Amino acid sequence: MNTIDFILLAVIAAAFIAAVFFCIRRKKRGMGCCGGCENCSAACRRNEQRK
Amino acid sequence: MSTLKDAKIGQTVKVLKLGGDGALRQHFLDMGIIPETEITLVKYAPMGDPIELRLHGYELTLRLADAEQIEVAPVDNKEDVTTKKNEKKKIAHPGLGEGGKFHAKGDGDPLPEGTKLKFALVGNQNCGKTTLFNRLTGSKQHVGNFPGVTVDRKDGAIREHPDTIITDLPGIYSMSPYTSEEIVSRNFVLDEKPHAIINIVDVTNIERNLYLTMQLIEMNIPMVVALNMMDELSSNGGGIDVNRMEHLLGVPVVPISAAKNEGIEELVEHAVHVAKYQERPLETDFCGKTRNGGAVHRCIHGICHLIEDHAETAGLPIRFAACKVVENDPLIISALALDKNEEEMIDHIVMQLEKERGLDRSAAIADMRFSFIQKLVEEAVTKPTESKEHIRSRRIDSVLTGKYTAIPAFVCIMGLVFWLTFNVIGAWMQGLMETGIDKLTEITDKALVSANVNDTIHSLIIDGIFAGVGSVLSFLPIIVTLFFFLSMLEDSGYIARVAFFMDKLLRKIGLSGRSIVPMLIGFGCSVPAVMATRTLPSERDRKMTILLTPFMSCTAKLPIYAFFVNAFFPKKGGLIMVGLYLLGIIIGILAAYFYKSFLFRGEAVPFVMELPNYRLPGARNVAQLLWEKAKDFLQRAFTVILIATICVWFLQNFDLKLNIVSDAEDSILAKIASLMTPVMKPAGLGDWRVIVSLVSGFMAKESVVSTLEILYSNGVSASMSSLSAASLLVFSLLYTPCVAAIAAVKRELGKKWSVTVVVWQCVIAWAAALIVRLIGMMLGANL
Repeated sequence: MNTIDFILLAVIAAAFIAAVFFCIRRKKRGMGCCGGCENCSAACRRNEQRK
Repeated sequence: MSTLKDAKIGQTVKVLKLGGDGALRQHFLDMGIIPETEITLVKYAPMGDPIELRLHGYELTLRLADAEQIEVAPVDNKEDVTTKKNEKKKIAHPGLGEGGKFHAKGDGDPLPEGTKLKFALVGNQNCGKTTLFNRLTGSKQHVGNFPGVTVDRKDGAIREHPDTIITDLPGIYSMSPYTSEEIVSRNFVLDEKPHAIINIVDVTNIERNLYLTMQLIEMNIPMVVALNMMDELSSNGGGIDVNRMEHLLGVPVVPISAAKNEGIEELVEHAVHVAKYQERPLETDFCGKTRNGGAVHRCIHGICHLIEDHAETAGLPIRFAACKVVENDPLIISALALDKNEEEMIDHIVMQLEKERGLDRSAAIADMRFSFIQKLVEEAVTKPTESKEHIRSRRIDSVLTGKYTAIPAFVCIMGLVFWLTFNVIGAWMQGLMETGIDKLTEITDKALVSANVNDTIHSLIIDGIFAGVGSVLSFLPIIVTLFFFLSMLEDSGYIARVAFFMDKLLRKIGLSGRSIVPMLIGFGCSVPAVMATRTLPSERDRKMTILLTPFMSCTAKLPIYAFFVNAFFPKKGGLIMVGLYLLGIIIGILAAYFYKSFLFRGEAVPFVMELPNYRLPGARNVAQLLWEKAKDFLQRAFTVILIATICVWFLQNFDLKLNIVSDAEDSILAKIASLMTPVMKPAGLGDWRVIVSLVSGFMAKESVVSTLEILYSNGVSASMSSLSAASLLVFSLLYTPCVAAIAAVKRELGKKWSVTVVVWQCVIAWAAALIVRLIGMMLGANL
């Protein structure tokens, strides 16, 4: 494997980790992996109040 | 004695007596069906039930069985709705809610500096609350024209006032809640004790809107009345004497047009002022010592004194609590915790009221409020004969809800929507998108080859990420197009009509016409469809409608259908798409019969619903909704789909010892999926690749296509028969909704029901796929 391979791997890994964190963060806010907060009412409200 | 059921089309009758009991009767009263009210029968629904009535300047639907409980007498000449203009002495502007000019009680005693001012935005359904909320906060909210589109509260700070928080509550008609949505609004006002209320009133339906206003004033919370849609009233020749109305109501009154962004600054100034200085309503006593002998006045004031200590302990405004006690509101009576002696005294007071007034307790209170409103309207409002918007709505309704034209029109409209989405606009844009993605893939591929990138990484990028994410992205135009049409139908007010003429049909499966709204929304996405069931007045209807939404095929499944149709049934695409949707609906109907017979016995709730005027959907609202949908889809593509794609690629290309495999059947993925093969084989879905794809669909339905693309590297059509494709299509149509939808079900119904939905849908899907396979085999294997 040469330098470009490592760079590409790093980029893909970073994108993967970012996507996972994004999903986890939304799940903690009760949003699931899709949809805005307006779909998630009670959980969204609790999280807003925590801010 | 005749009833409302016996009225003829176009006939105006006067209400003599209101039968029935409980929450429904109270709801009738709150909607304005009180003794002496004049009601005109506008039309029957195409199937003969329910009926559309006109009263107090707005349209209401009612079932014949409920109309039979209302005793009426004919009215010879319908009163001219144009208010006779009496020459009255002009009233100087009272200046309520204005700094430095007039302080209602005391000379200003502001809240401590730095206090975050809490506002509640309260009003009837469909009066423009969310439009106003958007103007006040700059937030993006979806605004629909069907009553009850805002399914839950939303919060935001008023622009340029960071020390404020305003909550947009669901629309309510009264503080005697009829639906769980109305309980949310009422509880917010009672429990969270906002510093001020902004009561938005639709001036084109002013009597009904002011009914809620009066109850809010009785709560003795600082308040501002925002008269919305003033532009519509003025353009139709109507008007309001704002000074007089302010003088009579005892609260600041501000004319606005939320849609045109007029009067908003003035409203904000007044609202912030009354909240900061806690300026309460000047007047809460609307009962009138001499009105109708003063029976209601004596009753309310007697009860006020009796319950004073209990109301203070419970944290309830005394006047409000007293009126609710007279109305026999169980929630308030329970909160007051009266002792037996007090309850008996109240019963006697109420009996005396009924004897002296000649009306039952609830009707007496409703009549008290509407009498005041009538007096106020006579003095302060000039009504147009009939608004342009209403004339237009009547003309459109003559076709869209006509006896012989309603259902054909509905079928044509929905057919047109689907045809434009799948065959014209959506298909054309999808073609462009696919070309773009293919081109980008080709360029990337060449670049990777010329850079001598490692073969495994090359495969991950091209066969994994590009194939997987790219296949899903190409469906964005179709999804956005379908959402566009559905939101147009919702925003225009047409879906309210659909509920009206579908009521009789839906009653056969144990639901009311209102359930059509969540179901139609379910064709877009199951998550808001489940949330929209909060507008349904009964728990039974809510549960049953939620259990039926998975049968309404959502847009996320479109990529699956389109993928297989293109690969296996290219010339019958439209037919198969429509067939799938219809199959979902038919199986849903069968499921509904099952639920009605075994799980949810009993009748659907009464159907009482307002029919708003048709409105041209706001371009801004529609554009905003489309952007949010597209954004959400793109977010999903680059998060969930990306994760699924990379995981699947990894599991497919490596074995348990983390060596690269040359044959995918040796991979980790194949080993896991093979555990389910015996179960899925009878349904024609025994291929491990299909099983993996379906499992990935639980995260997001679009993943099914991206996973199939990766796993079938030689192309699906070369590796699968048409019969298997048909089974897979039917299974995809019916099996468990995605995790976001299941999470929404769990929030509404609890964990047990959400697990039940997953299992139940998978069982139905398996059975349907099995039947399709058996039929296909009988017809001769490959179709």
